[in-house]
Amino acid sequence: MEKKFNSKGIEFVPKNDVSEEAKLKLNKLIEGKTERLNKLVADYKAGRLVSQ
Amino acid sequence: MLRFTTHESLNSSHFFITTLQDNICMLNFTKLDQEEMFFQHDYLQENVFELTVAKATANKENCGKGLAPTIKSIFDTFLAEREETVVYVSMEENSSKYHLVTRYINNEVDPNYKMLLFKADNKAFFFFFNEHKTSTVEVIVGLTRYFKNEYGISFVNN
Repeated sequence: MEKKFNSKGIEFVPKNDVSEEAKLKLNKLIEGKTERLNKLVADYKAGRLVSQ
Repeated sequence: MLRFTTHESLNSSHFFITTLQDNICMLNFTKLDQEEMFFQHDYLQENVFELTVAKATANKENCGKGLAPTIKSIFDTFLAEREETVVYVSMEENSSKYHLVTRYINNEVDPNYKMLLFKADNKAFFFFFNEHKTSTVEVIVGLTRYFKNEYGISFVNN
């Protein structure tokens, strides 16, 4: 059985089944993060993010 | 604790952590624009920062020991020092990152700390904030509306 979170955490789950359209959009949300991360790494390597 | 340098701008904070293997690991807090995540809620649009982590060097060795506690320390400081700030992290449920994050949550003792987790389609969307510096009601209402409006998903407390 999965361990529940302590009092600091509140977990939410869908009330009903998640539609195929929603699943696709959630996938896009995750993919968008990967794209943003790749851009940040590229910016760093190109010297556009210089440490202060 | 590993050493790190920073790069700050209006909408982002980047931390460059040097690992024991001389890799550079980037820890980023970035404000998302509407094209990236459209909350339809001014408070969230203004105050949510996405947390991402990536190895920035080509070295194939793992980032290794000391990285996770360093990230946790930077994360804690980021939340502790800022008013009205929510840190958002997404990942696949039951991934190694997911188990690491949940372990830290369950070991958390800071009384100011709050976490909301929305789980759907084997994905986990975490939102962290300091409940004394950030409105819990605004965050919960805004996020449940966001998932309902954007994805058609009604969430209930598990």
